[in-house]
Amino acid sequence: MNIAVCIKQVPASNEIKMNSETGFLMRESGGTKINPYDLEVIEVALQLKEKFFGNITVITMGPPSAKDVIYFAYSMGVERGILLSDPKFAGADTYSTAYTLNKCIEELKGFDIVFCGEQTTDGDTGQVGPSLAEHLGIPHLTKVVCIEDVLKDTLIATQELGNKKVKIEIKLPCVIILKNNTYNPRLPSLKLKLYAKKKEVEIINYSKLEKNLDINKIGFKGSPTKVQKIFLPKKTHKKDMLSGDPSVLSKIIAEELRGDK
Amino acid sequence: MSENIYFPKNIEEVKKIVCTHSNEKKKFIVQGAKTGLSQWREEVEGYVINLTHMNNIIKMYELDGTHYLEVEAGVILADISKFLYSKNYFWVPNPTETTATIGGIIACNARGLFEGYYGEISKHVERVEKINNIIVSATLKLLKKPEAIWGLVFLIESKNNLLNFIEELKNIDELVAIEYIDKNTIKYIRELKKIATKLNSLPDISDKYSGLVYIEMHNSEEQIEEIACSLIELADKYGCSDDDNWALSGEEEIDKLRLLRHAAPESISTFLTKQMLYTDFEVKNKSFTELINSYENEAKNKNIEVAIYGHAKINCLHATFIPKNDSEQEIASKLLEKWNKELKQGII
Repeated sequence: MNIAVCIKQVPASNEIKMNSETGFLMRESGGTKINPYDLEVIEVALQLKEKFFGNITVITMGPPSAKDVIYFAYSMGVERGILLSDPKFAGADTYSTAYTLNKCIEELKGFDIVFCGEQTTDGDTGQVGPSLAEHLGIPHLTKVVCIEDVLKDTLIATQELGNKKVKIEIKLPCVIILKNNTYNPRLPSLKLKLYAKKKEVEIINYSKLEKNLDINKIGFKGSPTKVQKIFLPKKTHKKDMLSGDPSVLSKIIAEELRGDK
Repeated sequence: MSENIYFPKNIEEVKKIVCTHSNEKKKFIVQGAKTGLSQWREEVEGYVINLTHMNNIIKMYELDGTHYLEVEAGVILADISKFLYSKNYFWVPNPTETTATIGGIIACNARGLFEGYYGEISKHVERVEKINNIIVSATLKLLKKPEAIWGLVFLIESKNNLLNFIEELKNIDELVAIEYIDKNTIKYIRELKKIATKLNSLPDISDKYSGLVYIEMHNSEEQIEEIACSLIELADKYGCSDDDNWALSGEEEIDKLRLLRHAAPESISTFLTKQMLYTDFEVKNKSFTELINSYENEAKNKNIEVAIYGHAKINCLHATFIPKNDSEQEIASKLLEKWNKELKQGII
């Protein structure tokens, strides 16, 4: 079984700054880490590998520093890591990211399952997984809480849809988008952590994908999303002490709250 | 019971409160963040002065090559970490409770994870301003952040192996923290994990383990890797395989492991129905193993449950009694008194 896992490097803290004009993260202003939701996706992939054998490849798109998230995946037990990195890929929105990932996955060939996390802690859109499946032209499932079984040509998974759980069979190859808080990710062992840094990360740049890539669909230029303005929500603190009849007070409080909307 | 609680916003207001009650013979009870997991808050008659509104970081400055941070007493540790996040400096004392106030940390001479390596708290405080013995502000001495920070957890099944492993770890000077958590404490952490989402990022800990040791290293990446290689061999010698240890690096990642360490007092305090009674002293006359054995044997002889965790590097362990009823509470209290006396007499 060949498994691809899409992962992302995100700011490690909400102390990171943003360029208010471009809307880009100023990554040098703080640390970075692997998107916490991706840890669960790596975990489920590792569990499948342990059960059915096979290979796991993690794929990330980002600057050269994004290698660190691949090293982290190695330290959890992943064997292969691909970094999609090129100035031409920079500034991509979810459409453009999904398009570029799709071209990379097509180039690498042969994956039975492509896993994505539900969302990232920086973008929070949850769009890349389904969009990737559409680009690849394969079926996908969102909100997956459990991989029940993998058969010859299909996979059986449990989806959580609102307050209902549905067991569903999906044709391989497919994209599986895992719901958050479903698998408890393992922590790296010391031996794997030391070994991780010695492993190579394969870099795929623009020139490696050029022949199949539409330059109008990649990076900042190929992104339909344009950031108008980035700003922090205004924080207001107001304190009033009220006393009197609760039935009167409740009306006053309700009016105040409406006024703040 | 206290009669009044004050929330001063600045030093002037503290002066005013003190002045107002200067002719009365009542005590001032200074309150910080009321974290009080291991420290029991005393109920005494008097006026409570809660300093949590005095939470300004006044300034950071450099003098003769040393960096300092001037803060009001109600600033909490988490705010200091946040302030220093991208500044390449840190304040050493780490009592694991990130909501503890600086005034509280200084007042109770908190020991924290790193005392055995970086020295006691007084080494990291340049100046303390007091009004009527109430700490109102402090100047903290900062250190440059190490190039790399690693945190490691080793889980070991055999009790003897675990204790011997820790004895050997204590000979490695480069280890900044060596923290022990026994099987009983892990049992409470397991219970806390069921209700505390903040512990979700930690794998479940099987009850097959006799305990665990958490260590931290602050150094260059290269030197840490060198020590880490020798630790693999050492762990292997004591039956700790690849599946029985966790390794994380970087400030953000190792916070997960520090949470585990903090969960030790937090979990016991969550499930304890009686007053928390525990040891909180450094024992120099005994080896780590002797100390663990003596705490455990005496508690066993008195038929009272004890959970042990703490700073193995400096032999300062919290043997925490878990009495089920008033009579056990009394026995625990007497045992604690006895140990305190023995410590003073140099017996332990």
